Amino acid sequence: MLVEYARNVLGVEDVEHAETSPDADDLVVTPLSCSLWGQEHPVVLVRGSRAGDLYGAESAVEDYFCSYGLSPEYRPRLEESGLRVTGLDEDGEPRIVELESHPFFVATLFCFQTRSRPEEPHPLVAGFVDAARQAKVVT
Amino acid sequence: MLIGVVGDRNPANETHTTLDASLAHAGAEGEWIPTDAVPSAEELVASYAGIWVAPASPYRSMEGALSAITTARERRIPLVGT
Repeated sequence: MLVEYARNVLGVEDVEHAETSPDADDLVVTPLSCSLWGQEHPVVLVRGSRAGDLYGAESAVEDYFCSYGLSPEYRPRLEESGLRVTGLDEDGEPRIVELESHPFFVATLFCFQTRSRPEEPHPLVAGFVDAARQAKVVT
Repeated sequence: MLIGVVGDRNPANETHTTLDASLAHAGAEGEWIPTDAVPSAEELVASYAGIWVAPASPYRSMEGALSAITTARERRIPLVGT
């Protein structure tokens, strides 16, 4: 989602993801300084954001299966254009981004589906499905 | 309600099996769309109430995954990516 957004909204045509194009000059997704594969970590949520409202909490613990994240160099441009960081790790590194101007456009570095339960759907799954129920798409 | 799940499903991948289960928890159903078989924007809009971009890159077709994301962003289809 970051590659699509950087290419088509920021207009950076040849921007790439480090996992698929490690030798590219321009990367919006870069290797994390420390891989998060198979780990659980807290996510600090931005109050008033869509993610923060859905969780209804200051923070949550989530499961990670990734070794890549948003390039620090791109973060200011993405945020200025409206793609906001609304979940962070304890050091302030981005873990959730969302587009405020869209009915539901949320990308996470972690896999929240692993923590969903039949009696308690994960708040991001529930929020996404609610948004899908209410969506008025552009045909 | 049908959610289009864009990704190359691997039944041994816990993040894929739990993705399907989590949609069921919220009362929705996921239909997987392989990245090398992403249909046109019109077909996506007509078929799916939301789109979930599944984990595990590299995708078989990065271009296919990107085209589905573009459609969801431009046509305002709810979109989530993990």
